[in-house]
Amino acid sequence: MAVPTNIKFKDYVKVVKLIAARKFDSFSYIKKRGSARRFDFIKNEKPLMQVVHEEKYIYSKDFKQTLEKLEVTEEEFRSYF
Amino acid sequence: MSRGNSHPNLVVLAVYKSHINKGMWKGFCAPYGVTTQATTCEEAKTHLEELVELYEEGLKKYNYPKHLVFQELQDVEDNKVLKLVWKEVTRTLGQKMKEERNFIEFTKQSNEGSLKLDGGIVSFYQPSFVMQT
Repeated sequence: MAVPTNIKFKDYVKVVKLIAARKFDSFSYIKKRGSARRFDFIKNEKPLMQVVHEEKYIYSKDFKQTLEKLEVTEEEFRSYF
Repeated sequence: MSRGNSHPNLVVLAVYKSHINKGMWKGFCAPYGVTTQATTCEEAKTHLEELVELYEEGLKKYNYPKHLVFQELQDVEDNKVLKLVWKEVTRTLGQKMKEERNFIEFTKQSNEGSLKLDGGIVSFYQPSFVMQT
């Protein structure tokens, strides 16, 4: 079920940046139209992308997708706070 | 174009009222696997359109790699709705094909449209990079 997590969006972005810097060859965070945001992760020349809406808190569905893309568990992710 | 790259023939955006997550409107875009949710239909539609625009910019940037273009929807309810949507989209496109007697004229048309489904909104289009012949 898609519900907001208790993770603030700005904290979520900070942690994604930290993990991506360690795990990927390159990473970018694109802010554009409205509140749509895009993460680009590149490893071994293979790009991965995720688009999310900036809300006060990150939604569980988006968070789960991010964990998959970053290949980390929720516990690992939360350990960065 | 290399073998690992491909453009979709059709892109579908759908927004519907969730029966599982009461009070929420959910939206998805196939085949990109982009999803969203909001408390109103209009908000979900706006979110989805913004996300898809940003996603398509990324696809263009990376030259449409297949693994980014074709993504399965992860959500069970989204998949159920996609099946219903697909029936309606094929019915609408099939009707257009029947009405147009000339194949060339049909291919010139912009095969896009929108329809209402159970209070939600469905729109579909051939991405502009496919339309350029």
